[in-house]
Amino acid sequence: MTGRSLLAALGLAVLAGCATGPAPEKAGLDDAAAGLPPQVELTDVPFHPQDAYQCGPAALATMMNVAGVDIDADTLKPEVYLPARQGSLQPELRAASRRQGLVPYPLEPDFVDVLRELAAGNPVLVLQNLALEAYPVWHYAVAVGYDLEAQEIILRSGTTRRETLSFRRFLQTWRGGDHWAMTLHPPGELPATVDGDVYLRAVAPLENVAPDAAQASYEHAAQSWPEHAMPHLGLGNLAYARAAYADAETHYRQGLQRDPDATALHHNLAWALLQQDDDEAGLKHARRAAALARTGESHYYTALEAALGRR
Amino acid sequence: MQSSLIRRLLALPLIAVLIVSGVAVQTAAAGIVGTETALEQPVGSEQQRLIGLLEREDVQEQLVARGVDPEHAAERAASLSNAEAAELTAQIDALPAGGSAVVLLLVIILLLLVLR
Repeated sequence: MTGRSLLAALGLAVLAGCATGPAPEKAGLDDAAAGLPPQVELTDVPFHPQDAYQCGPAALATMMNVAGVDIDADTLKPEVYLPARQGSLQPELRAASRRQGLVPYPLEPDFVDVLRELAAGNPVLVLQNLALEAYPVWHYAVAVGYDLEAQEIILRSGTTRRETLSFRRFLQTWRGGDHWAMTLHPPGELPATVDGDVYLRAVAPLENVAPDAAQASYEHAAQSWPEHAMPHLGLGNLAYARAAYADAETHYRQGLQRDPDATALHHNLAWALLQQDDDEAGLKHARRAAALARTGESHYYTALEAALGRR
Repeated sequence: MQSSLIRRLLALPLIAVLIVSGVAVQTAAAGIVGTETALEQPVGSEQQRLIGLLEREDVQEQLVARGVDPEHAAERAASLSNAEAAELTAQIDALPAGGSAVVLLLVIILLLLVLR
């Protein structure tokens, strides 16, 4: 396509603007939903009715209760509620979860994944826009069930203990919330739709705030994905942070058995060796890390600098 | 003469502080690479994010509705430098979430693809 025809298309896009509006979302579940139970309702999920605009703390308290943390919305309010915005932001919900030693897992923006999590018994925290696109009213709710026959989703929402929405209406509001959804898990429990890399990325920020929870999550991840090298990086880094350098070395070496070209494992192994005054082996792995590092990854050179400085 | 002596006297503790703080900074900065950093998406992820956006069904519908070949748009996006892609995704991040953002997002994508 030429620049001019692109420009013409752009003009059309501007003209069309919001007048056309997005096409009604197709549920498109026929094939994807095959294999899912036709009806699911997690009746045991508690309910925290919200005050005013505090759907964030209320919905998060519900999620945390299911994950085994005894907490109420009022306790969470100072942690996640922003008075100026009359709401909560997603990163704060994640951070508050991590402070409780829980792993917040971001779902793919796919409705079938929400249904899969529900079928597996996991309630799903969702972000909805309840009003117009131009004047959004953000709302957090907890999905607790669905009915494929009736094409309805069941939510703990606002002041309603059991709200049912048609799939169509829910998808409209959820699309307005940019298809944001997350599940919440204690260490050792994985979401039904889990991806190893996404899970490890969700666990890593726990290292500082809840190292025991991070440790248990990495150990479980190492069992769940025996070929994956990165749970061993996490375990090694936790050991290193405790100044248990010999343990850290063991974990990094276990990781390298699984992925011999992992830059971070060579680099951090070099540091663990240098800490144990094994300068020769440290230099070897530091060199390997520097050779594997890509442009811009200067943080993988610090071991080499340290190793060379010792000679 | 006297002022240079004062300067020297003042300089000594300053040098000591600088050496100590320099060492402190170095030990804080040097060291292992954190798990989060190591797990970050590799360089070039901004392009991948952009291409990911172009692969979204709702975005593709809008593109097709306006006579733009989504594959072509993805090729153009892939040819952006990382900095350009980052600039673009930063603009997208500044948009409000929601359905109308798709149209806005398209306008920005198309603008950028035309201008480059």
